[in-house]
Amino acid sequence: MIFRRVCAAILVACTLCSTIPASAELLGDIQLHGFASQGYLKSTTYNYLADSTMDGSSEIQEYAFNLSTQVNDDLRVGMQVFARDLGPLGNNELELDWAFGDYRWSDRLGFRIGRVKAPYGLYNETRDFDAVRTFVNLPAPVYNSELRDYFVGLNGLGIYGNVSAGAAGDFDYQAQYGNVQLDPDGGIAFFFNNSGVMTFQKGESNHAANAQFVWNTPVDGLRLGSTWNWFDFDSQVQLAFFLAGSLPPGTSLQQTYTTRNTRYFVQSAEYVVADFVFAAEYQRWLGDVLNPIMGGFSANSDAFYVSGSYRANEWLEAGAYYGEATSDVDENTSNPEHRGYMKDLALALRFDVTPNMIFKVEQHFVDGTYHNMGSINSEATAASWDGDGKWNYFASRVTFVF
Amino acid sequence: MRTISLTCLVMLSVFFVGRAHAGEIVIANESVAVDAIDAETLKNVFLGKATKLDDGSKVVFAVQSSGATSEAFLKDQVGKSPSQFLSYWRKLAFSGKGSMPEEVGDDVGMVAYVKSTPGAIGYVSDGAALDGVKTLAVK
Repeated sequence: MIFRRVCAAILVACTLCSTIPASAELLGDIQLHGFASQGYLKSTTYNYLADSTMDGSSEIQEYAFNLSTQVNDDLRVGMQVFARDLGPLGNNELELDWAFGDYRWSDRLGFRIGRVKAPYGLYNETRDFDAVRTFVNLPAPVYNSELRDYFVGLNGLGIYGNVSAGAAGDFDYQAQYGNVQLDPDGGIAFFFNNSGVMTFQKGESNHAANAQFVWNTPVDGLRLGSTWNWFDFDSQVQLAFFLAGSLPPGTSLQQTYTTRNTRYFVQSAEYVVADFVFAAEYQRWLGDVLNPIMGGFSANSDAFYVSGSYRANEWLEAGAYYGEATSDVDENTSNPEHRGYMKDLALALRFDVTPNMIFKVEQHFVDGTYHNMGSINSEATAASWDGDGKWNYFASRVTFVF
Repeated sequence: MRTISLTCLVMLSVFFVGRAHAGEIVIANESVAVDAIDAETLKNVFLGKATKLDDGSKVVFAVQSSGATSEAFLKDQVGKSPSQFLSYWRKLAFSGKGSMPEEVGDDVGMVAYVKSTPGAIGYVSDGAALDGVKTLAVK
């Protein structure tokens, strides 16, 4: 039913585009692009992203459709709709991925207003679009699928540009300010729901800001980046009725978790040489998630990965990455202990069947369950937290892009 | 001795004028006011980071969809293989931060595009018929 709604929306958008030649003449050329992606994931011991143990899961789909046009020399407008189903997340609900006006006053300074893709590391802005990378998913330790809501986009305004530094290369920069709304079918909602004692209702940031600087060094193909993301969030939850007796008299079951001064820092390096691409990124997450009744926690986690890929010919690419994520850099108090970390080694092959069709296979060797969602690893499902935390998974994906 | 050196210098200058690299020539629409472009600006134009030349005039570009000329130009001047270049522009197109470049099929298509598009630059193989376009030296 939901899938049909997505298809219908894309069909309507295509129809609209095909019926606006007069507008197209006024606005210049309208570009249309899209992709559809289907994945499969089979894991051992623990469920990951979906109910992936047993027979595996094909509940891994992503679709997007965008249109954009250059209104005049300096102004460009566009929008993209997106839907995904990733196990319990997304459920193929259509969402506005980005929609903004982009006024490039000069190459050194441009302005964007609307819903804008947020920077987070070098690859977040296309985290949903696997056709631009070797791997099925971005390296999980740094690009946690559960936290996508925080970084996927921001409603507000931003500036960007490219500044030459002469012999020292040049700098790309962007900075944005606005607010972020959490998807009730998204990973943050499931983070609260995973506790088993509350249900996420809605979440909205009071303020969100980010900034990214990328230095394109004089060394051909080497760029170094630094990204900063900051949020203040209020997440409204409904506590389970069975807690009522243990709460202070008069306490409402509807509570608000305040996420204050949450900061993500990502340091990035990428080196493109001949047909090789090497990358490394390091992330820190700091902040507090608090409620006066239920308590909360202070985030103090870090993560990193190093990756390399090689383009052998027009149709074959191979890659590997290794990464680690730690929930608390000072002390791992998780129970069981393997819930507090993730070590992920991935080996991947990408086949460009045609320029518009890409097929990938990937094998992961993992130690730790930090990024395995609780809701799909509870006692009620086939997998639970028993075991030593070591597990593997196989992933494949086919993507059509135009 | 000085005459010989000067002659060699002139010959080298003539050889390199209009050549991005051995085998590829950068061409421009007649409206483009400059006769030379520095390598960094040329690279940034093809990466979408520069949309204006040093004189402030608007610049647009096209790429050849395939072939040895295109592969050599992208590697030598843009620093990317064809697949890396495609991924780069797809990242921009699917994040809303750029539009895919105009594509032409071959040298003939490139010359036709550049000739008919004010502010356009492109590249062709050495020996292509340059009817109605100018060449740009790469500094």
